[in-house]
Amino acid sequence: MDYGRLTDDELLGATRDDPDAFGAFYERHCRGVLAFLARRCGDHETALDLTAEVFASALAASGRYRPGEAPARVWLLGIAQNKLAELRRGRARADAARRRLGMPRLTFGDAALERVEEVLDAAGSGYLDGLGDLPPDERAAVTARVIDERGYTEAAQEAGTTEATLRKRVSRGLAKLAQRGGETQ
Amino acid sequence: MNRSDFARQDDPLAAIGASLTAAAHRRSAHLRRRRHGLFAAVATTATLAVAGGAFAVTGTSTGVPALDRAIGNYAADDPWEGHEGPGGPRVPVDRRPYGGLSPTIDIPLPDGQRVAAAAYETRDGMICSTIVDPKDTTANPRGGFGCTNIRILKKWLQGDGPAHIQGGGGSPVSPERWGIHGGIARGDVVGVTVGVEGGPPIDAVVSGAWQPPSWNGTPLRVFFAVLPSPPRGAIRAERDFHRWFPTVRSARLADGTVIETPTR
Repeated sequence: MDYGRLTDDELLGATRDDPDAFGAFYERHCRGVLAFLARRCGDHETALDLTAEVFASALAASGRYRPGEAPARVWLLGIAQNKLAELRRGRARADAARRRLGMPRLTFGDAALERVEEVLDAAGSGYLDGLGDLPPDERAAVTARVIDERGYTEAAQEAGTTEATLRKRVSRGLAKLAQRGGETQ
Repeated sequence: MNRSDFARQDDPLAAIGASLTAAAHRRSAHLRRRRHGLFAAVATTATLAVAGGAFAVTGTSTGVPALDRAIGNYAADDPWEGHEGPGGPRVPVDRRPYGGLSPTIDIPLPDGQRVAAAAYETRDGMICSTIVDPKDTTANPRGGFGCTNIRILKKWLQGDGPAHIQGGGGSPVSPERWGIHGGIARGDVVGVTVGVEGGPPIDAVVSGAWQPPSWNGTPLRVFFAVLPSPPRGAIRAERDFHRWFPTVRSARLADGTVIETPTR
């Protein structure tokens, strides 16, 4: 099957019955997620480890993924952000999702870690950091709602605006991200 | 994706991708087996229910239809699997079983009535226990739930004591007379007594050992104790509530050791 013609939503929707669809989804997004994590970890080995955990979590949750509010890559970003937060809260390198899926924990040598540098160079800064291109109010709204998973009411209070306005900002921001995602896929 | 799409074997992303794709294949096969297994389980339990109400336990069903409905244990192709909403199941999707159902327990009440109970790991990382009236044929059986985050449960069982009450106090059968309190114990615990302040120790019904998928320690057991409900009007202040909420008094281990546990 030519998975390249399928959207992210279609790939995730097909994963249960066609496991290779998830492989295609991973291939499409792994470099971007790795780059996102590597820039925030500052440690390539940890970034690789978290990348594996992020996609394992995504695989485990793929049956619950609902196309709609957020593009799949923003959904992935939310998972990645949660894994980073767990790491910063002092949890040992998280591997719950991989254990659940029976995936071995991989170790990487120097050559593999050098490869991460190549990926970082190639990935540039445009993937999940596309958030940075949004206007500040929309970026803050999307971050609060989708990445930090705050409720609309709470996020609106923090932003000092109304819930209706925050909803509009989230909607506009996600629409722009989805449009840019479509342009780059 | 063909696994050969990753051109370089020394590419760490290729290694992760191959591992993920293999896991996706295992998961897909598991879901197919689970789907077929549930069809078989439903047929089996329906037959047994007609024959006399015995509990048939399989790896994917509690063996009690009311209990399966109460905890949202749906077949993969059930219309309510993955969905919730008006007219549908009360239990949220994330609070449904991920796997690791405990053995189902048949708990006799002092007046001859019975309730069914089981524990399970949820999709959002909790260990929950539930009791229902096995005769309940409604779409949404009334159940009592107690849930504890796995990380907190580990802390309890590793640091505080081998058995802990998780929740409860009600009963789907004659709740005005009985309160059923559920808890989780380490796998090496074979007997538990609980009691309220000033009351005698009551033996709990303890399940066989089971292993939730995300639990990496020893296996777990779930236990339930039936205590008389507080008399009407007995709870007037918070102090009364604590007095009538039971605590674990002792845990008996498989090697015969009895541990007087701290209260919780």
